[in-house]
Amino acid sequence: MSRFGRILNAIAALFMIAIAVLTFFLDAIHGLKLVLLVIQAGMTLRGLQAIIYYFSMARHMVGGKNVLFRGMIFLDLGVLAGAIFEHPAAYILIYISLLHIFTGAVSALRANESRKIGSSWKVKMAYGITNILLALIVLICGIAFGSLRIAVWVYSTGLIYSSVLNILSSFRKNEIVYIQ
Amino acid sequence: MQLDFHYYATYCAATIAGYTHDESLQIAYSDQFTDCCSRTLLKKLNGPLSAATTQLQLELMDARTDITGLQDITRIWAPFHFLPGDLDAKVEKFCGKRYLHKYRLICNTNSALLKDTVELARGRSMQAAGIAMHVLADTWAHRYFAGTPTLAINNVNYYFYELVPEGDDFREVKIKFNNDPRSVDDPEKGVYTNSLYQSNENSIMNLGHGRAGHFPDYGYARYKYLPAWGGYKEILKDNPSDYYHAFCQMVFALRCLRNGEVFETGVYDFDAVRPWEDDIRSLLEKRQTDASADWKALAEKISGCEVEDFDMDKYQNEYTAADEESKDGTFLGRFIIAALAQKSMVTNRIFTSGNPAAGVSVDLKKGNFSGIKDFQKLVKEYGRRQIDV
Repeated sequence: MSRFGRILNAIAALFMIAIAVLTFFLDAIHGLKLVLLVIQAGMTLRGLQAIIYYFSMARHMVGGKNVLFRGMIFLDLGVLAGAIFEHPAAYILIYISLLHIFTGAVSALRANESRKIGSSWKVKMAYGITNILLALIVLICGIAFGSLRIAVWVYSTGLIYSSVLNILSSFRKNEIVYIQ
Repeated sequence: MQLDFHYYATYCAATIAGYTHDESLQIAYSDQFTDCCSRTLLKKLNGPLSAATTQLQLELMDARTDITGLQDITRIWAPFHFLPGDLDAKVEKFCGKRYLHKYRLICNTNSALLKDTVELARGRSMQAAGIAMHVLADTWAHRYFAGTPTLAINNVNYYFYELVPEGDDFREVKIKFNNDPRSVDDPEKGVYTNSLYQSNENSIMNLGHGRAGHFPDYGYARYKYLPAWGGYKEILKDNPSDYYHAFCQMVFALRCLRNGEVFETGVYDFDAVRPWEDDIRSLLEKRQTDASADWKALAEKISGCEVEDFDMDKYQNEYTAADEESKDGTFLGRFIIAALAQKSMVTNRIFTSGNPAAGVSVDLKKGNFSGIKDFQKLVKEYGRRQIDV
């Protein structure tokens, strides 16, 4: 990762921490909507970025259609986040939790792959497990116990934790293959 | 390519081309030193940083990948390790300029730039000849990869097979890549280390043949794969044959530089190499990740002299101890000037082809541009004829 990329990652993580802290001071439903807004913006931008990359570069590349599909999925998720904005809180909770379960599962699988080949895997695994646990707790608090406020707080705490992990992983040393 | 070819094989080629033992050693040393002359080393020597011919792992990790950062990386890797094959290449389907500029940096053999590279060394130092031989040899090992970070060009996927000789035929072995830089390549199991997949187009992981690891650098490697840029057309690489061609082309190029003949691309001095053909071919077929010992034995057999091992520190004291006036006359001083000339020439060719990937090429006479003070050395040495910075 370039120095610029690391700084950008760290800024994004700090921004997420700020959002998480803000949700503690808002009422539950507004806090939840703020989180949804951030997710919507992130997904949409990521999707658009991938689609632009596909049309400018990756359409000539072997396997380049994966980039297009990835972009479409992110864009869809972003649009979906916007569409459920006015729906009951339970839908928003389910949507956010499913996103985190998916992200966590991908991260855990990647960590397992890294572990098999002896590469660094612990931070990735911790990130994956945190995401899955967070989503489950939010689902239990919000839907089973009906406490939206606790669900938002738990979610915000998890967001802070995963953002700190992101900052740590942005500045940790990584190794690359040296070409001669 | 690695030390075995860049140092020992180049020594063999220079000796066959008619150079003396000492001259051959100097050419071979300069060839291999192209893989060592990083900014970190130049800082230590207090030399001009613009003369860097490679980047260390740590330097790459910290390298910026914004526009100027990418141009800086391209100015190091394209002129010395991935010489572009065709700066006017066309893509079959319509494509944007961003893609086209990267596509045109794909390295290939026998290019117009290769002729320019060899001609640039004519009448110059042994160091210039050594750098030209490094560039020439790498065009064979690094062909089909580009000397700039680009996923759309340099990526390789799971379709990557080694063709292992078995009797009169070949057995296909699927290459397994892992991303752990600490692991050692294992030719027997077909497990090699490559760089991590990064979906970011300009990630440093997508520089050169990083996505295929060191595998393309091994002389024994015969493989087929789908390059990212090839429109699903399979590429078959036969390194034993390619490396033999590289060797014979080096002999021809060095003979031209020594005897004043005109260097033409696509010409190989097979006749001069014939007495050692069997030795070289069997050496290249041997499945080993470092062939230094075998090349060294052959080098000593060809020249009848003892060939010392490569020592990166050999000329550093001479350079650091020299005063400012005599620095350019030292071994490393001459290497630095030759490196600046090569970098300048290739940057100029890329720029004048309308490709901004390696940055802007300007004439020093037309203004005082910051950051190019290093090249005044080159102006002084080469005169006005070659001032393409």
